[in-house]
Amino acid sequence: MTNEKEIALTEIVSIAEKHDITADEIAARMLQDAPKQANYKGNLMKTIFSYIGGLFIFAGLGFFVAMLWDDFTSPVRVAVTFGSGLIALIMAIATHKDPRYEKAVTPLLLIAAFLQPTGLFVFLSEYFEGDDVALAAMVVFGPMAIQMALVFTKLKRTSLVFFYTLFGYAFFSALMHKLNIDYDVTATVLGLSGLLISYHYNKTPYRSFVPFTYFVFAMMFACGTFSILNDIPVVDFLLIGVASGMIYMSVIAQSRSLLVASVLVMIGYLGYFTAEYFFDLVAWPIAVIMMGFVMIGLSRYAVKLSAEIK
Amino acid sequence: MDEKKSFLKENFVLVLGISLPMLLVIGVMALQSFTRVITEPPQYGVLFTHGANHYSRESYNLEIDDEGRLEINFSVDEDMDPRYKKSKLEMELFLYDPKTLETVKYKLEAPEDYKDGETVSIDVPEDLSVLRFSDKETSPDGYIFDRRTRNSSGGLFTEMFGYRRYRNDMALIKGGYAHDIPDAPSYYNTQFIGWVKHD
Repeated sequence: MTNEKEIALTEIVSIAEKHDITADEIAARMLQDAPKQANYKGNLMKTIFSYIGGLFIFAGLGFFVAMLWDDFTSPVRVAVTFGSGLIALIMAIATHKDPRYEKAVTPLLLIAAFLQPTGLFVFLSEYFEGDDVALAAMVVFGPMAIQMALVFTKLKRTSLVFFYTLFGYAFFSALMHKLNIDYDVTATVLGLSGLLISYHYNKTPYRSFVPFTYFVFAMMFACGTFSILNDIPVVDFLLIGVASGMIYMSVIAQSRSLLVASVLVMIGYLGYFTAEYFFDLVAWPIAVIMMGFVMIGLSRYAVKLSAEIK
Repeated sequence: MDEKKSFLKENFVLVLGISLPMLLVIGVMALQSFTRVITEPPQYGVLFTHGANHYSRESYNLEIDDEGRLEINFSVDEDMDPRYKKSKLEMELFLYDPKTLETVKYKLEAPEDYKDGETVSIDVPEDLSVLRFSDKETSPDGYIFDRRTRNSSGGLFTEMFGYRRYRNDMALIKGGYAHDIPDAPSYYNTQFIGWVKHD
């Protein structure tokens, strides 16, 4: 980031703080004003056709490769998958400083992040025997995470943070599978770890994907915890504490997506308790009605909390 | 030193987030290594069948007699659907030796011109006929032949969508230690026959 840009940003932040303006409000106003800009319609059409055109070229190449796949030899199969991904990555690195191609960098990185691991899986499938999926996933996702992290040090792109996080967790997930750690424990630990890392990312400029990771990791953590604690009498009541803790974290983290995930988890847990402890009772229909009231109460509470999240 | 402290203080959540999976992996690896060190590796080979279809499994009867010899009998139920009688009634036997880490496969085929309801004795493969087996569930050194882990007791998704995942690989298990069988068969359609007795 240039010095002038840094100074401008500092001024914007200082003005925003002075007038109690949130980041979301600034972003909303900028988006609202975008259509008023000159040549907006022309630019919009150009952008749409460019995207559609790019998509057609990519889809056409994909179909071409799929149709001729059986005729390809092993080196060709690796070259058209991994090779294409690597070239996309090199192009992204080469063009990221050129303002003319700046918008092409993220799609190129996306292509690289999709094709390179595909190519590595193809390479393993073509040249190695065995059916150890966990080992293959480790061999592919470990180096991919390192590669994306290294490229991030140069390009400083949000998409790269997302990719190395994704590949990093895929690597750890495969490693835990390889070590025969229970899925429940894996989901709990990786879910909690992901929530903490999302919390950290949220404080950095690379946070645009954080609502998504908050939601995914929250669901992972909740499902893992549930699998560990359910069916253990009395101890399973800790699940309510887990869901409450998640709601508390959503307020601390100021995240609506985490709040939505937490409320869904709380409803899921309460559903489990109702089915587990009240299903055989004559009072079951009453319990269902009570459950309904609890859900309404929770939704009101969630709306109240959501209003507090700026 | 102060810089390190300051970095840790500022990025405590990040450090904690990265450390959690690493600590779990290191802890489990240490525990597994410790268990491996204190547990004697399996010494006895195991004989099992795997992969045959339902009608083949119904037709073959593998037993260990009082002297530890393997007996294989074949009979087709008179009520069996004629369509299935036409299919290949085959069975595959596997002998895994934990000392050499090798699995040997033996193929059993239905005798020609068998009659419905009649029991026919099938020749035991030569390698196996010289061996003596024990059909006890536990080997003399305390191992059982079982599914690797019975994890995932059921999760929130299980409750909501009826989805359940298992890890199905068969292994030789003793206490907390599991001896992996290379290219292990899945739990399904696998039947334990016996342990190879030593002289």
